[in-house]
Amino acid sequence: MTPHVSQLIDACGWLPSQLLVISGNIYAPLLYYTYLGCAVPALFIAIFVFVYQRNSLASRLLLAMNVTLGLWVFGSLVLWASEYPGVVMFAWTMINMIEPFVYFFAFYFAYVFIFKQDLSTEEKLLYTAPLLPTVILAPTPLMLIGFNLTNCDRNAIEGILSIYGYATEILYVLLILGFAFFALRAKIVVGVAERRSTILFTIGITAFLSAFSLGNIIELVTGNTFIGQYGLLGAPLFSALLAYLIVNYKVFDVKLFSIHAFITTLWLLIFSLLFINTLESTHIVVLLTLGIFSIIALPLSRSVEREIVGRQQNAALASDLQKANERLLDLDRSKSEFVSIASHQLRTPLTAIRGFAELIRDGSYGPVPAKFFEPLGHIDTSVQNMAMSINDFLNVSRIESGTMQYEMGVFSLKELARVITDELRQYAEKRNIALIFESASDDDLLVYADEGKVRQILQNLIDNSIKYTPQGKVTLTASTVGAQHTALISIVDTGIGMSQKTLGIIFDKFVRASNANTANMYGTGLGLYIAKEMAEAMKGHVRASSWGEGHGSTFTLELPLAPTTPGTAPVAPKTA
Amino acid sequence: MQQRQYRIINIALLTSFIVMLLISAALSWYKYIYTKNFRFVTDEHNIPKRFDIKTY
Repeated sequence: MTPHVSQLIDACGWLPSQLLVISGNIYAPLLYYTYLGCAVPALFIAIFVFVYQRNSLASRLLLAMNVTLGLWVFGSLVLWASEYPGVVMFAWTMINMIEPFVYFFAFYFAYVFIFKQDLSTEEKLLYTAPLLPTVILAPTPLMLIGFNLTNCDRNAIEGILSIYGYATEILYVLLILGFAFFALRAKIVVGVAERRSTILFTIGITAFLSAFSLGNIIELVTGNTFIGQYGLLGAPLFSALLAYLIVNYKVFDVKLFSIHAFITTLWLLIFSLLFINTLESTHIVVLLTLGIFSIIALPLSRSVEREIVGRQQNAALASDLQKANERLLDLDRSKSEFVSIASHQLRTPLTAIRGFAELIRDGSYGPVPAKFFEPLGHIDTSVQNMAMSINDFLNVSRIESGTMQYEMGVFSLKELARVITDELRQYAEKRNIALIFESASDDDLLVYADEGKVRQILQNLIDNSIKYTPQGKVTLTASTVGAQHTALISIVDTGIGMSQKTLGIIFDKFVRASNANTANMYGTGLGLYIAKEMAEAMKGHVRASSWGEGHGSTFTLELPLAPTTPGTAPVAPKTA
Repeated sequence: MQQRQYRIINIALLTSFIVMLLISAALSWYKYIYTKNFRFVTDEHNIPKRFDIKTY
């Protein structure tokens, strides 16, 4: 040291420090000692989390982060207190070297917290690489240019490497934000509680690190070393957030920690009685109490441990279940789309087959021998059946995807039922079944619904009754129920009937009466499901009843009557 | 075997960082505390008030 420098230092009259950190040189003692208040709780939280989850990588990293933060705080305190320029320069170099590690460990901790997995070896090398220059070149003038004696401030003048260090810190903060955003966006983190804890954690850790960085940047730009010191106040905020996460979202096993802390405290309390009380007789009582307490404490601790394990397993199962559920919903949507596309593709060639078969039968390609009529009739019937099945599939996929359109309007349900009965009478008579229409109401039964869809429902119900009635009759009755507010069409047959078991599931998809196969009927088992869904979308109902197998069935369609009061708006249609 | 290799790489990475940190710390200590070999900077236009200008 040149003589004039030592004179300058003497002239500053810095006070001697004790135990490296206690000194009269500090110009903001309150802020200075707040550092301990910041670092110590953070370190305590990290230690207890580490002690109770020693094998967890996240708790190890939290400890590493808070230990480096503790070292940083210690270096910072030395730097503020020391009267020796050499010690100040050394401590300044150390904190500038350690600071990016706080950020690196924070980033690593955040990654493991969010993704619940470790970085790969390549990723570790990649993410630790930015730390190397500050570590290797720390002792060079690139880090600290010199000691500033101006105004006796005891500042080090920082070099380009210090600025580089701050840049790496910003990089780690951006990486935390980027990964958290990606995990939330790509639904890697699922479940409301997990997503909320990830968001809170990211906000907390970013706020703490940003406050820390911002202080350094303000110091660098404005040269005001005082403002920069407030950055560390983010540490207790982050610790508070961690504590909140621990308590509210059970991120770490706080219960186990509490019970162990409780047991240890009580044990020490009882044990200390041995030294406080010198009477031998009391010693025996104390030792006895200690023994009994130890015996009781063990199962208590184990039961808490078991409860924690159980809770973790339940949480894991719930998370798996949710993921499986989401996957199933995706698959179901894909299935509906596939059915819809496939049905459309099948319908087109079917129309061609039917059309050409018709043309052959009509003699458009020349005279057709009489023996061809029967096979051509089979082709026509099969194509019709297939077209019906495809329509059913299409309707189901529309209902399930919510794309079924309803053109609502007012029309006479009684008239529609009469027309359909007339249309199907010939078809019924071919099967030796009498199809009868009766009206129990003088009204027209005006309903507000989609006429096309109601026609489809009625055709389906009547067709079903005819198919499952080997002989006898099918009777349609039009009436009103429920204080004249609902129109009702009931279809009563004398067919094969249904058991109570079948009645319970008859409106489910792909369900056919248990005796349907014996009746040798063609069908997909979708008709009643479609009829019910359509009726309900129009605020109506389709119901089924039977006196049992062999005793016929009754199907009813109920639809709300259209409002007759002038100015009353029709009920808005409900999409399936 | 893979798990073992993974552990070895992890330990090697951690050890090399600790060694580098210790070397840097030792060199800094040697430079700043033992030999006191660093520059002092003053701003001559802003001479500290507590300085005796004659000794400067």
